[in-house]
Amino acid sequence: MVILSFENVAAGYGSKQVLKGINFHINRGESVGIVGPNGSGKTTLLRVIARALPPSQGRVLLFERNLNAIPRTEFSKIVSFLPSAMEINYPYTVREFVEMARYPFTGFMQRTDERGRTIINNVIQNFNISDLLQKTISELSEGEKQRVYLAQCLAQEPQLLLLDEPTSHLDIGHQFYFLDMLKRNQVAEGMTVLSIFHDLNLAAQYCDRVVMLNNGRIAAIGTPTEVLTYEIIEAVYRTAVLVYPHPISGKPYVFGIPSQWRDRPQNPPLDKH
Amino acid sequence: MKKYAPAVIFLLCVISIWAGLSSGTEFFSLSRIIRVFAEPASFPFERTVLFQIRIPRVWCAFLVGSGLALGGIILQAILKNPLAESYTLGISGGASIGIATGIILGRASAIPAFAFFGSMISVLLLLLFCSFRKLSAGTILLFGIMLNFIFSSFSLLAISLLQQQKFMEAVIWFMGDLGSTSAQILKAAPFFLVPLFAAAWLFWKDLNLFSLGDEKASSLGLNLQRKKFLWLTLAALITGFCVSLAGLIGFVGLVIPHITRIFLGADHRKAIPAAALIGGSFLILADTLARTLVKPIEIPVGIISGFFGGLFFVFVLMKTTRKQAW
Repeated sequence: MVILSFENVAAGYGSKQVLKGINFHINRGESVGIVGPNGSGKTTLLRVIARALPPSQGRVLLFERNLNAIPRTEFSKIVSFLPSAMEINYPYTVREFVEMARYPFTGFMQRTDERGRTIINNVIQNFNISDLLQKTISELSEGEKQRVYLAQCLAQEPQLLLLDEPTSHLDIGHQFYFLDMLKRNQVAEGMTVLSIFHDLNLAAQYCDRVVMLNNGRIAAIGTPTEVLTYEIIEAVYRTAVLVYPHPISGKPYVFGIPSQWRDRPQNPPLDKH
Repeated sequence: MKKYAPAVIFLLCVISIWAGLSSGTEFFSLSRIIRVFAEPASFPFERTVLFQIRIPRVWCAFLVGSGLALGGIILQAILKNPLAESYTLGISGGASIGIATGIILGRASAIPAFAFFGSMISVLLLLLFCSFRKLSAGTILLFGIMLNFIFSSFSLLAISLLQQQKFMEAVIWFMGDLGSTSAQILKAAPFFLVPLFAAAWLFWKDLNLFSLGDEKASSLGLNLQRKKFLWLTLAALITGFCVSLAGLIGFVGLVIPHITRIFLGADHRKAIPAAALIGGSFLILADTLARTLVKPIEIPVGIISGFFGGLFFVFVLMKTTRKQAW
């Protein structure tokens, strides 16, 4: 079942078109990664879906309804968005922060209702943040912050979760911890996840499908094995790479090559996959 | 700290009101004040001083302090900027133009209305500017500061061309004065301010969402453009009215929201009423000091609130850098 589809969408800021002729769809329960060079339109694409930017051409359908015609509160019960570089300057406690996910579901003076409390308790357990609840956001480490941000998104019970480079500030341990936790919750909730990745290898390991953008257009779309080939990557990113299967997962793994090692016959043969 | 906050704030209110009522040219002890309330007929002198001078003054200080604090907390949340307040958004500049106009026209009794409309004009300009392009909070703030400069230059020019006596009148308005607000306006003030305060409190969730940043806020169901307009208007109505009560009093709108957040946390459900109460009591205390420090001369209240409040705030900032983000 299709949850989100793009029909010939263009979008941009002022007279500058960042996205052009975007056509693709996402199925329910899928995990889709958006990759592409800097400035290729990844964040713009996500902002269009999050309704932070209306498309200048074409339309975006969410459950076959025009995205921008859905009432805001209804929309926020379907889609949750984690922007990159979230900056919370206010000294909210973690509990207050997570509870904000329930605002679209409750009335004026209410923080949460009965159901909201159950969901928040589940999320607190799932994400292992019960020790952090009384701390303020600014007291958390980068890894804890990202965990709390994701917990808030999931407390919103989204059917579609949008993530903008959720792991780019994390070390490798926290990256995998974060993505594993996301995967677990995604499977449990039957959620659809659309996430921007800077790191091609993380996208390859965790996504069912990958959309590669280049200059505002879709350069390639398909399974990681179909999209992350050296031909496509070298053409889009303009650099030399090697792609080998990951020894355990079998998914493609991309190696960059510093220029001093390129075109040297004594180096290992380019066994390209 | 947070656990005792309601009690501490209540105590602060009580102490400030007591201080405001008992001090002045002649000190009234608490028992004397109670006796005046119990049998006003037998204390004609005290009755006049309390009911004609001190109560209106304390009441005015409380209203203005709470309104300015509330305006500040709203503006800081919607613009996500620690420096946002009515005085950095051109509202005070607009009011000063209104005041200058009122003084030049020689309509002393109409000056509050002129001040109010002046601040409304600057907010209208701000809203107009916002509607042309989608602007970042930083740009809006810069525009506000520029607006303030332009307006203040104009009103200072107008004032500098005035004669001696009108000049003094203008200076008093520009430095803030809690003692000469008319009794009718003070009686009517709650009917204007309380609904606005209530509206702000009722929509506390909006402010929490605004402070998460535009993208997160809109994904949690906030209609950014419309709500920004509504909240700016609300903050402008509140501060515009406060300016028309007491002239230009700085500092409260900027610092009381910070102090509130440091001691109570950021959640606006608590922070909105707390800031109003703290702001109100703070201004009563500042005004009391201003009246009594160098008797019988009255120091402008803005000087006291700026000096003692500023020192206190620097002290608080040094103590709490760990939890305080900004």
